[in-house]
Amino acid sequence: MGKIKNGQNGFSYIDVMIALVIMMVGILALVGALSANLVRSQESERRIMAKQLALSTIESITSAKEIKRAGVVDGWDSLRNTMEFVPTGETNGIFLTGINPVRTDSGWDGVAGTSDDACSNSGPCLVSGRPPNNSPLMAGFQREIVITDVPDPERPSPPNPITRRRIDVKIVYFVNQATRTETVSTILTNY
Amino acid sequence: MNSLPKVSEVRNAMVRQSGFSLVELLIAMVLFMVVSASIYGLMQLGTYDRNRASRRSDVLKNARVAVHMIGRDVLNAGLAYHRRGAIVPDNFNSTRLQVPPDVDSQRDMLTSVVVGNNLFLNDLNSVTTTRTDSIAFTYRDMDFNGGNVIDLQGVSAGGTSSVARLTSKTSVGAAAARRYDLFLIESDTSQVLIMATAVNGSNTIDAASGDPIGVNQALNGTGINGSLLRQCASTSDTNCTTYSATAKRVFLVSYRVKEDGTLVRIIYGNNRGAAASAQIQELPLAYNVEDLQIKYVLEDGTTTDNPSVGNDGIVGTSDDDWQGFNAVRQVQITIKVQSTEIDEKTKKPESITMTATFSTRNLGYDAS
Repeated sequence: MGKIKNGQNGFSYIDVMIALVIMMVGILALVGALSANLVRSQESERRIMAKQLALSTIESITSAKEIKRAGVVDGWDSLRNTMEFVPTGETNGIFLTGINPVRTDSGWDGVAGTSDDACSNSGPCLVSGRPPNNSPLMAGFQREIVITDVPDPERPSPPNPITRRRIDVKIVYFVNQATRTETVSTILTNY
Repeated sequence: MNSLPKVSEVRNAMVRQSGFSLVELLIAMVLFMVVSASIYGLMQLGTYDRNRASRRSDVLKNARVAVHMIGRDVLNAGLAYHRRGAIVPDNFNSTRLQVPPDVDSQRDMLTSVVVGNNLFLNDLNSVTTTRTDSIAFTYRDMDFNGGNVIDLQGVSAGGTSSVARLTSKTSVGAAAARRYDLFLIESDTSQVLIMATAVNGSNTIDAASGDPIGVNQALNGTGINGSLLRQCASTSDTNCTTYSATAKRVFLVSYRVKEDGTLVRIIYGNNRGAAASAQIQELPLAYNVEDLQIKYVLEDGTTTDNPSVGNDGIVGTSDDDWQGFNAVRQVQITIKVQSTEIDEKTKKPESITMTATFSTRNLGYDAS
């Protein structure tokens, strides 16, 4: 009979632990990849929704240009941000300044981003003389509408009225605590 | 017997041979199973998530395509069309566009936008009484005839006395027209929608009754059953047209969700070279649509589901007015689409709601 080998060791616990640790590193990477994938797909869905929301807002503002309702929307003249001090002879804008919550219903006036659908509280929007807007908030979306007058060098204002305005709609949305923004801009004219 | 090891030596050698013991093997197997089970669970979770993501992106794509197609037509609606709308036979709108019939027996008005509110039941919606909306658009084909109208000098009986045959001013005026084209014939007294049932040579267009979409009327008919293309005999004559007139090729499309959840775009006429039976084309845009609701903001700032209902708010009563459709300034579309496959965990289809707003570009500029 041959010599029985001495020190014929199997895996020691240390070996097994090292193997497990290596395996765990691999698994953790896998988990990381899976969850990153999930976040990405969520993000792309939210981004599409945000883009859609921004485009819809632009369209809503565009349509306000042709809507006239006494004391509510006055066509082109209303296409501005709300101002604290309205210069004499000018009409106050209807689009709230700052980053505001988004509600699914654009309120009694039918125009998005105004006091009856973008009020900063989380409850219903209450505007005197209008029915309350009880529509739910769009969770994880916020919106900022910035309207700036674009001067026309050939027809300076004053004395000429402003005929071009730039509309920037910024949608702030959240993906797993990360904040993302989606911005759409356009120029509207009154001719 | 020195060649054989002693029993004690053998035992010593065996003790030193330290492989796995049974217990160690069991521990290792249990560990291995725990680890592989967790990996399996993770993989399965990954599969579910991946499936869900792909389902949702599929559904989202469906919804977006549908919404953008409708939106494009909202922007087109009324382009170079008549500001009040074309005159069509009585109950044309209810027959072709499935909107509720009006109570009068006057001719209908085919406006740039025709709204149908809560018309079609849907098999997919869990609320079985929900009815989806429909919407139709009319606009001019700006490419037709190099962007020019066809000038018409008059009408005569074509072959039989019931067929209205329109003659162009020049000998090749109607060369661009084809059979089954839709035309808006505008004159000082009327604006009529017709379908060309024949184009003879390059200067005449026939509009015979019994056309595939049922818009033409007999030239020798009387009252509202006679073709409006008939030449006015005197200044007091009614239900007639004064010539000269012009012809524009127009598109008429509508959107509706069928009961099985297919959102279709329906194109009326203008299917050149195709048979009469193919002049109403239903093209599927999106499947598994469980709801389509459309709201409208009018020029006076009111929001409504149905702009034509009049003061009483009820459709199908005498105060309904087609002109309400011409006041549409904003269209808010809410579409709810389901996935084809069910979720592995919830055992329910995924469903996504998308809302899109569009502003009509061509309804407000035509000074009234």
